[in-house]
Amino acid sequence: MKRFGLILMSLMLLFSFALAACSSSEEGGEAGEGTPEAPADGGEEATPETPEGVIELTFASIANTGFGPLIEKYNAENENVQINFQEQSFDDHHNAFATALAAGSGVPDIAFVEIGRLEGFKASQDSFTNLYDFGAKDVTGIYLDWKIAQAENADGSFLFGLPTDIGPMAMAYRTDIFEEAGLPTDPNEVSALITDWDKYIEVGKTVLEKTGKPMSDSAGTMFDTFTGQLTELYFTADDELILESNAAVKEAYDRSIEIAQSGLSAKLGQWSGEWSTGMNEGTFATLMAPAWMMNYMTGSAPDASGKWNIAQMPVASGNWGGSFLTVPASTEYPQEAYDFIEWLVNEENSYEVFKETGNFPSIPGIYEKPEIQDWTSEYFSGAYVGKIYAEAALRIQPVWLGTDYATVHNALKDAINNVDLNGADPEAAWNEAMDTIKRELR
Amino acid sequence: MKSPIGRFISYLFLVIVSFISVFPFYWMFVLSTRSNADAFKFPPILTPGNQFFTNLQTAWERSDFLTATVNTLIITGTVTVSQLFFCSLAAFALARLTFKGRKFLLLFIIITLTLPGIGQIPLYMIISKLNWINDLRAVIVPALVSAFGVFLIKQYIDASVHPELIESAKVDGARNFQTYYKIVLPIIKPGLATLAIITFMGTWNAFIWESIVLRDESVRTIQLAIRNLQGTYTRETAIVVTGAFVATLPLLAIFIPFSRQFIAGLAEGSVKG
Amino acid sequence: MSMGNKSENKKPRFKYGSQASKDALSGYLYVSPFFLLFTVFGLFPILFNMYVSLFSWRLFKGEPEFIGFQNYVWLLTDDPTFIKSIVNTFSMWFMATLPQLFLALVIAFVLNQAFVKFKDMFRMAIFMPFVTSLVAVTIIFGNLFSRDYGLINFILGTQGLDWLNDNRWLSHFAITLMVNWRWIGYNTIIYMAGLQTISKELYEAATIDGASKVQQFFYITIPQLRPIILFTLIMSVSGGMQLFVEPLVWAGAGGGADNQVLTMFLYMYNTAFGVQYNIGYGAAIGWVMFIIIILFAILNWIISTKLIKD
Repeated sequence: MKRFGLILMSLMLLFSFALAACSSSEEGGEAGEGTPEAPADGGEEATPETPEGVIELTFASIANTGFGPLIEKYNAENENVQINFQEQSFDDHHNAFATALAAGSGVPDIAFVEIGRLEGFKASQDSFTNLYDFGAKDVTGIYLDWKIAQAENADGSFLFGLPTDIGPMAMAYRTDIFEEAGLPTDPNEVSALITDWDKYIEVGKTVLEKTGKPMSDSAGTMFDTFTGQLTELYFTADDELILESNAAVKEAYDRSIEIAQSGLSAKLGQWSGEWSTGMNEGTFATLMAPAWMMNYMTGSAPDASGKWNIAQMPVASGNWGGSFLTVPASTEYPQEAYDFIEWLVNEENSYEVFKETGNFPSIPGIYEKPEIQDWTSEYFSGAYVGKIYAEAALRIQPVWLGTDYATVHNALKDAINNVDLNGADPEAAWNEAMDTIKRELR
Repeated sequence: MKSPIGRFISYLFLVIVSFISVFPFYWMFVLSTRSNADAFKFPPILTPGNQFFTNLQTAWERSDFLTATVNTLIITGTVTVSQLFFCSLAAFALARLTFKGRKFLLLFIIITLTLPGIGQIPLYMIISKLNWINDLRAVIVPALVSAFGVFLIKQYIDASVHPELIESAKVDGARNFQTYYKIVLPIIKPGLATLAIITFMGTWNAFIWESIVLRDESVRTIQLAIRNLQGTYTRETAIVVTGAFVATLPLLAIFIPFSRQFIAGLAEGSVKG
Repeated sequence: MSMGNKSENKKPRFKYGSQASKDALSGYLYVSPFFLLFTVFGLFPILFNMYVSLFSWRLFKGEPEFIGFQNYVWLLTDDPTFIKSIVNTFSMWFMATLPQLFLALVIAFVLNQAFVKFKDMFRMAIFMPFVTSLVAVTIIFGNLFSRDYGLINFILGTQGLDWLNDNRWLSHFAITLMVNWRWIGYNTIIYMAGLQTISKELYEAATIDGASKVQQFFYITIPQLRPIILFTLIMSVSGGMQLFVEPLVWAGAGGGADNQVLTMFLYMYNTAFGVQYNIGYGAAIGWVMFIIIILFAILNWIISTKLIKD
C-alpha cells in the first residue's frame, strides 16, 4: 500500500515538474518571461525587467490595428524600452483587460480601449494614469477637440487616453433606388433635398411608394444616429439621470418608431449577415455610414460597387466607434508608457497607420494630405470620400455620455428593436425600457 | 436483425443522421472556398468556389498557426493524459472502495458539476498570484482532473466492473493499486476512450478562459488564433471559416486512428458478464 | 463496511494492514488530486461569489456597498427578466434533452448491431459535430438560419421567416436544433462505450425467447445502461441549465431584443460582464441558479431511477 502511495505521489510530483519544464521551455525565447520574479512583485506579470535595466512594457491591444511595424521600429530605435505587443480579437481583448483591471493584477502597462468600453471605465479613475500628468497637455492640441473630450473626465482635468482612430458619419445612399423613385442622385442635390429628419422620413415615404423599398437598414441604426447628434443625452456631467426630462431623447425614440412602423425600416440587425446582403442587393435606400463602413461594404457587399453614393448627414454629423490608448495606473513605468503612446499616435505615425489600414485619423493636420483630399472611391460612384469624412469629422459636437450610458442606451435600443423586429407596442416597450433601466441602475 | 426491411430502415436512419451531421462541415468547406459576400447570397450557393487558397493565405498571414498548434497540442495532450489517470483513479475509489465519507465526496463532486458562477475574476487573481498569466499552466493545471471525468468513469465502473471481481482480487492478495491497474483499467477501456475523446475535443475547442489568460502570441491556442482573424469593424466570414475548417483537420486526423483504437477496445468484448 | 468494528481498537485507529484501513487510505489518496485542485482553484471563487453577492458591487463604479440579501430579494421579487430567462432555459432544455438522449441511444443501439457495415464511417460522421469549434458552428448556423438567404428557409420554402424574432418558441426550437446537432454525437459515443458492458448472452437469450429488437432495446439495453443514462441525464441538466454560447452568439448578449432566447446563465454573464459590470447582482443570479439546478437535478434523478428499473 505504502509503496503505491509513494509511486502515486512521485508521479504527481514528476508531473508538475514536467509541466513546469515544458512551459518554461515554451517561453525560452522570450526575454523575461518564465524566469522567476522577485516575490515582492506580487504577481505582476506585466513589467518584468531584464538584468541590463531594459524596461519591458506590455501593450495589450486588439488585432489588425496596423501598429505592428511601428512597434518594431520603436523597439529597434530604443534600447532601454522594449514594447511587448499582445494582440487579441476585439471582444477577447476587452474582456481580458476588464478582468485584469477588476482583479487588480496582471494588468498590461498600455491598453487599447474602444470608446464604447472606455465610458464604462471612467468612474474608475484610480485604475488609470492621468496622461495630463505626463505631458499630454502639450500634444492634445493636434487632435480633434471632441475626440479629446471623449477621453476626459467630466471636468476635463483627467485624460484617460490618447486618440487612435475615429468614426465620423455620413449618409450613404443607393443611386439606383433614388433614381427609380425619381429623386436626384447628385450628392449636393441630395443634401439640399434632405435637410432634416422630417424631410428624410418624407423622402423615405416617396421611395417606399415608388420602389417598394424601405429607406433605412433598421430603426435601431436610426436611433443610434439621432441620439448621436444630441449634445445632451441621458446623464448630466454629475452623472444624474435626465433621461425622462430630456425631451430630445423621447423625440428620437418616437421618430425611430415612426420609421419602424411606417415601413421605412428594412429590419436588418447591425452586423448580421442580412445586413450585408441588404447592402449588396440594395434592399434599402440609405445607410448612416461611419468612415470604417467603407471597408465593411467593399468587403461584404462587393456587387453593389458603383451603386452607392455618399453625402453629408442631415442636421449634424455624428461619430460611431474609434479608440484610445490608455496607461493603467498599476504600471511601474507610467512615463515610459506615456512617451511610447505619444510617439505611436503622433501625426506622422497616425498618417502611416491611416495609409496602412484606412482607419480615419483623429488629427485634422492629416486631413490636408493628398491621401485624404484626393481620396475617391469607385464603390461610392467616385465620390471624394476623404473630403466628405474629413468635413464630417470637423463638424462633430462633443457630448457627455456618462458611465451608465451603455446600460440606458441598450435598453432603449432593445425597445426599438422589439417594435421593429418583433412588432411590440411602442408605448409598452418604452415603459418596459424605463423599468429595466431603473432596475439595472439600482 | 434478419429481415431486409429492418436492415434497410437501420441503414436509412444512419445515413440520414450522418448526412445531417456532416452537412454543416460541407457548408463550412463551401464558405471557405468563396468570398465573404458569397456567404450571404440567395439562393444559397451550394458548390465550392476557387478562393480557398487565397483565404488560407490571408488567415496564415494574420495568425501564427504553427505556434498555436504546438501550444494547443501541449495543452490538450497534457490535460487528456492527466484526466485519464486521475479521474479513473478517483472513480475507482468512489465506486469500488469502502471508506468513510465516500458518499458525501461523490455528492460533492456531482454538485460541483452544477455550480455556475462568475469565476473568472477570482480565478484570475489566483492565476496571477501564481505568476501564470501568459503561461500555459494557467489553462492546464486547473483542468488536470475534472468532476465530469470522475463522474463519467464512476458510472462506467458501476455498469461494468462487478464488485465480486474486486473482492476476488482482494482475496488473491492484490493491493488496491494493482486491482485498479490490472483489473479495473482493462475493463473500462471503452469508457476511458470516451473520456479521452471528449476531453481532447473539449480542451481543443475551449477559448473563453484561454482568451483571458493567454494574451501573448507565444502562448496563443488555435481557437484564439481563429478569433483573431476577425477585424473590428469588418466581417471576415470566409477567412474565419477557413481558419476554423483547417483547424478542424488535425482533430479529424487524430480522431480517425483513435476511433480505430476505440473500436478495437470494443471488439475485445472485455466485459465479463 | 466493517470500519466501525475495526476502529474499536484504540491505537492505531485502523488495524495496520487491515483491508479496511488500506481501502480508506487508498480511497482518500485516489480522490485527493481532485480535491487538491478544487481547493486551489474552485473554493476561492465560490467563497468570493458568496461574499460579492451580498454587496451592491459594480466593477469600475466606486466602492462596493454592503446590502445583505437585497440582491436576492430583488432577483426573486422584482425582476421579470430573470423569470423570463428561467422560462426560456427550461423551455429549451425540455425541447432539447429528450430527443437528444433518446436519439443518441437509438443511434448507439443501431450502430452496435452486428450486421451494420461501415461502422467506422458512421461513427465518424455522427461524432463530427462535436469536433467542430464553436466559433465555426455559430457562424454556420447563423448562416443556415438566416431570414433572407438561409439554406433552411430555402429548403422549406419559407424565405422571410425570421427564426429569431417571429416567435419566441420558434427561436427556442432553432437553438434546440443547434444544441442537438452538436450533442447527439457526443452522447452516442458515451452510450456506445456503455453498450460494451452488456454481455452478448443477454441478447442471445432474448433472441431465443423470441424478443424483437425493439423489445430488446427497451427491456435490455435501457435498464442495463442505467448508470450511463443517469450520467448523461445529469450532464444534460448541468449543461442545459448553463446553456449560453449558442444564444450569445446567435442573438447577442441580451438574448434578443425581447430577451426571447436569454438563458439564466447568459443573464448572469451579461449582468456581470456586459455593459453593467454588476458582479454583485450577477453572483446572486449564480447562486439562485445553483439552487434551481440542484433541485432540478435531484428531481430528475428520482424520476429516472423510478422509470428505469433493472
